[in-house]
Parts: sequence; structure tokens; C-alpha cells
Amino acid sequence: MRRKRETPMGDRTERDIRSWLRTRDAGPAPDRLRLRIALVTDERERAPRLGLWAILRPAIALGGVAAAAVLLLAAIALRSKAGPVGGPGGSLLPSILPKPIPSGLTPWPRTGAVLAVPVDGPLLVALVCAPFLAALLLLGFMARTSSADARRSGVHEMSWRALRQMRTPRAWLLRVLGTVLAAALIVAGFNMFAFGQNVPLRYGSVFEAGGAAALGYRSATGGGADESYVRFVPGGQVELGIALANPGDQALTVTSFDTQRFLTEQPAGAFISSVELRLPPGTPTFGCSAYSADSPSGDICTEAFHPFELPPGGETSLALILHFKNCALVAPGPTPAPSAEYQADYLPTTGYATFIDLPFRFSMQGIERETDVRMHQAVGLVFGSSSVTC
Amino acid sequence: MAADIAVEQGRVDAALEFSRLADRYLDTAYRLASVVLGDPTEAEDAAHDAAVLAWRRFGTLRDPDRFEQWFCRIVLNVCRDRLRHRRRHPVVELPDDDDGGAGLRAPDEADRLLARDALDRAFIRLEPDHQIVVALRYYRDLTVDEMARRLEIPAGTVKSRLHHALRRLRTEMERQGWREETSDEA
Repeated sequence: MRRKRETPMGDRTERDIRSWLRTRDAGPAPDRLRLRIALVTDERERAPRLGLWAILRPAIALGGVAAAAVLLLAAIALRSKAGPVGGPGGSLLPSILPKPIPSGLTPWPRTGAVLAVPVDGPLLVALVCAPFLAALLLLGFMARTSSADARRSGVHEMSWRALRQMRTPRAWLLRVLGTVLAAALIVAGFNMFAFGQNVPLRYGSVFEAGGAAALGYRSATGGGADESYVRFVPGGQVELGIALANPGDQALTVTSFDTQRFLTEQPAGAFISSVELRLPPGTPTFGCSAYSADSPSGDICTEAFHPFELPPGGETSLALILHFKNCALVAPGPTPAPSAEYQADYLPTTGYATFIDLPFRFSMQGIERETDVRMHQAVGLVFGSSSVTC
Repeated sequence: MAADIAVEQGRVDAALEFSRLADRYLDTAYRLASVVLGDPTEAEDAAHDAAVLAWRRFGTLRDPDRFEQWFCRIVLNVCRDRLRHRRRHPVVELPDDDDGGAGLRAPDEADRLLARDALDRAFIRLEPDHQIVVALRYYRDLTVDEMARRLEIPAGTVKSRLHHALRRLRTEMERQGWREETSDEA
């Protein structure tokens, strides 16, 4: 019957091991080794030998920290330029009360964000930023350990393969941290993508074409945008009715209008000295008008612009007042006859300049961003001559 | 200038002290390295590397009386690195046609040769850390606590390593055709 052992080895086997180990004993150190050892102290302190990997690892880690920091800042100060809304949308309602967008039209394309964050308020910021902060911490940790490795690389040949083959608890911890880091980066990437894609501020469903200055309207041909034309008068102004909508599922706050960008990036900006926005008194609601004649109920956009909230699915009207430059060399645009109808197929015979994007800044979940709200049609300022410079 | 001379003098003193201690414990370190590595030539290189390391860190050694323990720990670390490197870059040994005349020797001696041959092959399959604890335990006859102090690891870790090392050693030796009955119960 085989005897069950509690120790892995028997006594005689242990004696064999002892005996075998002694056979490996090479005896006293040879003289040549003593000579080598005696020369050791003659060696001056050398700079540690830095292998390529030992040099690159801290650089890579530090580069990762820098990249993560940039991404973090980008996440906080995300500046998104929404693409064109596309397709038909706004109903052209010159100088009449706003009406809803015709049914069947899609005012803005849903982005189908991959990762939706169903929370409100600062928690969203935390969710977006936390993975980056975690990544920063982990990358900082890696940079620290890497620099430590680099310092001692003169005696330890560090290699990625060696690190992978390590079986120590520290190696496992590093693996776990690496996995967490990778997961954090992936989640952060999804968060960034989803948050960047989610730009719910869109143009609304109405447009007032400038009252008495409105000249006409032309439908898009050849893939261009519809255009609405108003008369340009040097030193004068025109009031347009516009609308902003929030078709998303989270409230947002419209904070400001970027006049500088509007004037520099839109072709018509060269002829405009300033832009003014007006809201209806009290809480902005859908239905205010730029002109009193268009609003029998008296809901006129008269109040100076101030940040206002657009609830999910909400829409509001604003008056956009363009103050024209007093361009001495530009003749005023044609004057429509008082009794003339608003021309549906107006084609300007003189020069004109247009704009179509309205750069608004808005904040959502505590993060402020800027987006170009594209109107459903371009607005053309029609001059009295063909060649104009201001 | 005076400060430079003092620094240089201190360095010379340290070098003399290191040379004295290293020479005194070189035999111990070299023999331990040769047992762990199983190759006198590589043991020389390991001892030299350890001496270079020890000299660079000599300023951190507070108590010269602990030089032997400190130096041997460095030697063992160097040996462990070399064993790891050896595992990553294994050398394939050609089969030895000569059985050493085991078949012509007395049964006890043949068993011993068989055991040694099995030990040779089994030992190199152990993890480097396991090889070191086996060497310290059966060559230096250190206790678990002594090994723990020397390696600066917990005693429980030493016990665990030793247990697993011996179990693995036994398994590998049995795979080589060795049976304990032939040596322990014969």
C-alpha cells in the first residue's frame, strides 16, 4: 500500500537534493574572478544605460498624459460646429405670424449617439470627465514607474516581453490597471463621441422675412439653398424673425450670439455693423413676432437678449435685427412697391450678399458649446448696384 | 578644493572597505551563484555583476556587519534575472548517448545517478524564485526564517515557495522516470 505523504519529499530524497546541490558547488572563487572584483571599485559612477524602450516608455506615458489632458480640456470646452441641417424645413412666412413647420419635415437629423447618458446636471460632467481623470492618474502612475524603471535600466534590461512574463502580484496589478485604463479610454471615447454628436440646438420652424424690406423668395435650384431677399439700406436696419428649437431630450440654455464670428464668417457680414437680438417680455415662448403688425396679440419681441432656457422639445421665436454699415459706395437696394406682392420667384438683378448660419452659444449639462444654427434658407441683402464693396 | 579632496578621500576609503568585504565574502557569493545557476562560468559573471551593483549601492548600506546578507541578496537577484533570461532563451541540450555507465554500476549507485539526472532536468524547470529557495534550504541549510530575512520576503511566502518548489520538483522527477520508492523505500 502506497504511503500517503504530507511533505512533497522524503528524507532520503532531501538528502539526494543536498548531495546533488553540492555537486553544483564550484568551490572557491577563481583568481580571475577576484581580480575582476578588485577592479570593480575603479569604475567611476556611470550614467545608467538607457535602452530604447526605457527611453520611450516615459515619453510615451507622458505623451499619453498630455493627450488625455488635451482631450479633457476639449471635453469641457467642447466647441461643436453642427453640420448643415439639410433638406427643406422652414416655411416661408413673410411678415405674418409664425406657424409650425409643415408636418412630415424633419428639422434636424437625429445623430443616433452610441452611448446615451440618461442623467442630468453635474453628474453628466462627472461621467464625461471621470474616465479622463482616471486615465490621467493611471498614466501618471505609469510615467512614474517608467521613469523609475529607466533609472535602473542600467542593470535591469527592461523589455515588454519581460514585463508580460512577470508573475508577481505587482505585475498582475499593473495588468489590472492597464485593463481599467483601456476600458476608461474606450468609455471616455464613447462619451466624447456621444456628447459631441449631441447638438440639439437647431433652427426652429418659422421665419419672418424683414417686413417692409422683404423683396422676395427663390426656391433652391441645383442643390443650393432657398434664399430670401431683403433690401439693403446703408446705415439702416432690417428686422428678421427667427426661431430656435430644441428637439433633444435634455434642456439647454441659449447663452449668447457670437456676433464676431457671424460678421467675419458670413458673406453678408461685411455689410453689417452690429447684430441685435430681442426676446418677448417674460419667459420666451414660441409665438413672439418681430413686428407689431404681425402680432395682434401683442406678443412682440422687444426685450433685450438674455440667456434663456429651451426645454426638451421647446421652441421660441426671436427678432434678429441687423444694423447695416453706412457704406457710402453702396446704393440702396430696390424698393418694393407698396402694393406689390411678395415675389415667390424673386431673382435679384443687382448685387447681393447672403448669410445662412447663426453662431449661437449654448450650455447643456453645465458644458457650454457653440454651434452654427443653420437656417432653412439663406438671407440675401440686395444692393442697388451690381458691384459693391463696403 | 578641500571639499573635493575630502570627497575623494571618502571615496577611496569606501572603495577599500568595499574591496575588503567583497573579497571576504566572494567565495560564499560565488559558490551560492554556482549552485543556483549550475554553471561556474555564469556564476563568475553573476558574482561580478552583483559586485558592480553592490559597489554602486554601497553608500546605502548602513551596517557593514550585514554586508554578507546584503551582498548575497544582490547575488541572488542577479541569479534570478539570469534564470529568467535563460527561461526566455532556452538552450536546447543534445541528448547524451553515454548513460554514465549506470547500467554497469551497483544498483544503489545507479539509483543515485538516476535521481541526480532527474534532479538536473527537474531543477531547471522550476521557477527562478523556487530554485533559489531550494538552494538556500538544501545547500545553505537555512531555516525558513533565515531565508525570509535574507530574501526580505515574508516567511509564509518562503514556505509557500518551498512547498510548491518541492512538489514541482517531485512531479518533474517522476516524469523523468524517477520513483521515490527506489530511493526512499528500497
